[in-house]
This record gives sequence, structure tokens and C-alpha cells, in this order.
Amino acid sequence: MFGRKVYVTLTLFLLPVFALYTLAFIVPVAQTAYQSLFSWNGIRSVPMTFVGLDNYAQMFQSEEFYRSLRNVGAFIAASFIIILPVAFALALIVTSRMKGKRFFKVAYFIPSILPLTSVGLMWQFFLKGDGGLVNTLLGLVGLGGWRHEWLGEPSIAIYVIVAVNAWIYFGLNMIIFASGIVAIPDDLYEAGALEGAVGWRRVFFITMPLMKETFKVFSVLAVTQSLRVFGQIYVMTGGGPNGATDVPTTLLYNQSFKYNNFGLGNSIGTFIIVAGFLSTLLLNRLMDGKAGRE
Amino acid sequence: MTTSKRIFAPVSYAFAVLCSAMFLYPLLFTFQASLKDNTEIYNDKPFALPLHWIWSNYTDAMRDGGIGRAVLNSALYAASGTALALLLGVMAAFALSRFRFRLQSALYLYFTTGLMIPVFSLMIPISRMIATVDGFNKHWSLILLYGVFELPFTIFLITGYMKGISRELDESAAVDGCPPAVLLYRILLPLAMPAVSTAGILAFFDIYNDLIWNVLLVSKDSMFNISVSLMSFIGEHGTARMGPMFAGIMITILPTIAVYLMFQERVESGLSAGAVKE
Repeated sequence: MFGRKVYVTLTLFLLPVFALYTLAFIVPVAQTAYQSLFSWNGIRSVPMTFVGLDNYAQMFQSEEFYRSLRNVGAFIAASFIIILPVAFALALIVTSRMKGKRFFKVAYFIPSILPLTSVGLMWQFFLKGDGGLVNTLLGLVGLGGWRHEWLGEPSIAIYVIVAVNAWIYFGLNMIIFASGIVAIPDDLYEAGALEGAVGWRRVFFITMPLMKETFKVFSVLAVTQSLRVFGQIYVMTGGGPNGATDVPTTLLYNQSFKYNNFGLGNSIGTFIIVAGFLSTLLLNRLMDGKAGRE
Repeated sequence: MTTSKRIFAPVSYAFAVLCSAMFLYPLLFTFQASLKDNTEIYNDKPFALPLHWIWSNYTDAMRDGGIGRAVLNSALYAASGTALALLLGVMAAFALSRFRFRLQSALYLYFTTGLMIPVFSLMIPISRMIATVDGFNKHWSLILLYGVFELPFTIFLITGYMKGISRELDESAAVDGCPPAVLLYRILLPLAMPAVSTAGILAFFDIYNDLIWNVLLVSKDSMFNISVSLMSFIGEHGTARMGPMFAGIMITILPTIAVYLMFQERVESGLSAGAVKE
């Protein structure tokens, strides 16, 4: 088709995008990996010194790094313990015949579309120990004893951020579940109803088993998106107090742009890239494997 | 059926209403607080309407915080970055979906590999690269980066969609002597609009909400986007005057709510398609 000029056409269509993508996306990936073998303080006139795998040794020996991984673990765990059940329940609501479901859908989805920084700052104010909305409300309902400096106490700060993160993304996950629910044909429910599958039973015995694919997609997302958390933490705590809420991405930022350990930063970057790749590939393989056996 | 149904319906309705309150009340509070002064924000009546509606909080946020300009900047970055991503993405998707050539699947894999790479991991080399080309505080460098970062998803989505459009169209176009560019923009593009608009909405929201690249690559107030100007506004004033801070937050979120209400379905499918891309 289009004769011999086809390669000219292809070059015209693909070369600009290939060049830009390679330059601004792939080359930096290679640079991250390569420069993780050097030590550098971020000043352009100062040359980088080759240090081999020292940055990795430092990374794998630092308690901060493992803490950042545990914090990612908290995000992953919360995806399954909090986001999954609530988002699924919300999806049932907005796909039901309930009055006002259109309003509910908009209400639940709104946090997902708001700028992350605005939402983060909003919650930062709400969670202040002194005069924050959360503490005021607790006082009003007689739970004054539960007041905390929510983002300032190292033992709870990460869980507070995880909760805010859940608040933001319930709606987005609701849409993912809702699209799985509406894909189930109505006649299955009608047949089920004849057998007494209504109310909770309908959900447990018809809806949920037929949504395996959606739950798989959700599981992959829970892991890969947790690895990408950055803005929520940067805005609300910056990784503090004292590194308690750092995740690998904020650790990378803080180590490089705050403490000028760009070599260590690059080794963390390489770790994130490899982890992102492996988790996506492994999870997809795992999920496909299970689907194949059925 | 009777008892379970009688309990099921009201309980789930109560749950539905409670959840709406959980999502909307923080925004309502933010709106109320944006019209109050510190004494009222910090008192024990969070549900009370403002005694005096201090609309000047909004002008303060605009003037002192430059929040209005920041909204325009973010919108400009988002519009240009999205346009670039769509232009390049549509061209690539056309080549990858309508032609058969040797490196086709390798190239598709190459472009979509970006989906698996968290861009935050590239902070250091990107800022070094921008330094070497003297791109700090420049619109072109920001827009270029924003556009390129949206490419993997744009190409993934539009290529997938274009593959589903009948190939007979191409053949009849070739017979008529219609050049490929005309085929793409006159015939294929209109047919691929659902995928193009989904990709566009996702890219627009992504770029509008950007934080890290504006933090790293911009130091001039006049080029701050919403994230950076909100943060620096709050950094400068601390908690001395909370009213204008909340007003600033309101100004940055209102445009996104407006866009969402206008294109509800598109935004919902766009953002969730973006999430399930892997």
C-alpha cells in the first residue's frame, strides 16, 4: 500500500516522536542507571567520581531505605484492606437502582480529579494538632482524648497519609469496579433471583465471582501505583517527621536535592525503575497464569 | 427475601449518604473557611457559616499568592503539553497501526515501555539535561517534557483503537491516490476521536496537576504552576492568615470540578483508563 514511498512516510511519522521520546525518556533511564555508579554532589563544575557499587551498598545498608519500602508496603496493604472493600461498595451503590445514584457517583469521584497538591495542603491543615478540623470534630463528639498531631508523630504519620491517599482514590477505583459490574449481563441476575440470590447473596454469589478480571487489574494497580506515590507525601510531610513517611521517590528527592547525594539518589532511582518493571511483569504473568488454569 | 431486602435497602442508602458526606464535607469546609478569618476558622464551630463573608480572601490569594496566574500557567502547560502529546501520539499510532513493516512491534514495545517506568525516578538526569540545554525557567522545556511523558499512554491507547478500525478504508484511500497524511487527518482521526479524547483528558489532568517538574525546573514566580505557587504562598505566610490559603485552594480546584461536571463520563473513563494502563 502507498507504494515504495511507504518508508518515507513512516520515517516522517515516526522519527520526531522517536527522537523526542528517546531523548527525554529513555536516555534519562540509561543515565540514572549509569550515574548510579558515580558519586556526585550536584555541582556542574565538579566532576563525578566512579565509585562502583558503593551507592548500592550504602542504599541496602541504610535503615531509611528499608523504612521507605515498609511505607510502600503500607500503601499496598491499605489498597487491599481499605480501598478495595470501600471502592467496591461504592461501585455497587452507583450501579444500583438507588435514587440519587448519579449524584453519589459525582460526589465519590470528585476527590480523584482534584489537584493532588491542593488536596494534600487541605488535609495538612485539617490534620494540624492545634486547631485542625479533625481534632476539632473529635472534640465536638466527645473524643477529645483521641486528638493527635496527626502528621507530626512519627509512629502514626504514615498511616494518616495512607488514609488520606485512600480518601483521594476511592472514587477512581470505584469507577474501575463499576465498569466490571456493568459488564455482567442482566439475565444472570434474573436467573439468580429465581434461585434466591438477592441482596447480599446476589453480590457474593453472582457479582464478585464474575469480577475476577477486575480484581486482578486492581491488584496489579495496587502494587504499581503504590511505588509511584510522591506528591501526597512531598506536600503533606516532605518525608518527615525525621524520615518517618519517606517512600523511595521522596527519599530520592531528599537525598539528591536536599543533601546533594546524587549518586545515592540515582541508585534509588535505578531501584525504582527495576522494581516498577519487575512488579508489572511479574504480576501480569502471575495473573495471566491463574486465568489460564481456569 | 423480605427481611433481608427490608434491611438491605435503608442500610445501603444510609451508607451512600454517609460516604457522600465523607467526600464532600472537607470541600464544603474549605469553601466556608475561604471566607472566614483565623478566629472563625479556629473556633469550635466548624459548621457555622462565616459571620462576615470575607471575599477579599480571594483577591488576596490572587494578588499576594499569584494563584490566578498560576491557574492560567497550569492551563497553558496542560493545553500545550496535551496538544504536543496528541500530535506526536496520533502520528506514531497511525504508523504503528496501519502499516506493516519490520520494526513495527519492536517500536510499539519501545514506546509503551515508558508505561512501566515511574517518571519520578528520572528527576536527576532530567534536571541535569535541562541544565545543559539552558532550559530552566523556559516554557519550551517544560512543555516538551510534559508532552513526552504523556506519550507512552497516548500511543498505547490510540494505537490500540486504530487497530480496530477497518483496513478497507486504507485500501480504498490508496486506490483513490489519497496520500497517507490526508487519510489520517480526514478519515482515521475523526473515527479515533473516542481514544484521542480519552488520552487528551488524562494528559490534561496529569499536566495540570504536576508538582515535581515545576519544582525542579522553575524558580521564577511568574512561571509557577498551581502546585508550586500554592506551596510557596503557604510557605511565605505560614498559618498567620488561613483564609486566603483556603481561598487559594478553592481557586485551584474549581476549574477541575468545572471541567469534570462538563465532561463527566469522558473524565471518568479517561482517568480510570489511565489507571489501568499497565
